[in-house]
Amino acid sequence: MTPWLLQDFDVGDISCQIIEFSVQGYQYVMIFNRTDASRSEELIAKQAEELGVEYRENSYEVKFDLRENFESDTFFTPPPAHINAASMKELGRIIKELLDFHYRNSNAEAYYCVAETMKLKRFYDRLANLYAQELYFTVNSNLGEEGLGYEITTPSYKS
Amino acid sequence: MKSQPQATKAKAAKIEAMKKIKAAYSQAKSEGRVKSYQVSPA
Repeated sequence: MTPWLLQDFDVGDISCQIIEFSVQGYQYVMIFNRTDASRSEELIAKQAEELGVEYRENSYEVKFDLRENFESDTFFTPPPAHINAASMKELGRIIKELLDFHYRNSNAEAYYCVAETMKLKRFYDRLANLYAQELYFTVNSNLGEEGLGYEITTPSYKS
Repeated sequence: MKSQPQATKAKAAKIEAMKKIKAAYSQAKSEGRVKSYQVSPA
């Protein structure tokens, strides 16, 4: 497996880790942005309300995209060619590994993500079924107005 | 005619968030404030 490139930075209200990885010739970035990074409580509350959750203190919004999209500002544009089932499976496994890696290094209480399409929602639902138990995470799905949001709580979640 | 995937509010919000992250990343990069590490997957 090729090494991951982790980049860490803090600027203004963004406190972020970006991890680059590749699957079957495609380069991806997975982005962890701390939810409370110097943002106003009002803004945090608004975003949490949109998702239908209560943001935890040490929690992160998670996104992933093709690196090319991130570099060219064409965010979330689908890949030019169909990604086969084996590649999707590998992509899912690496996303699980990255969440596990990030959790072990941050002790995050929770992660939040939103699927931008129904196709991705099915993919995320499948990953939740496959891996949540293995990681001791709890996944709350169908959140927010469109039902596309997820809250992933970890063993460090404080009630 | 082939139907287009539905553009969701969620997607619009994610794109806005990504724009902010990208702008912050570009600024951090230009100021030499991005720390980089190689990680070997387990």
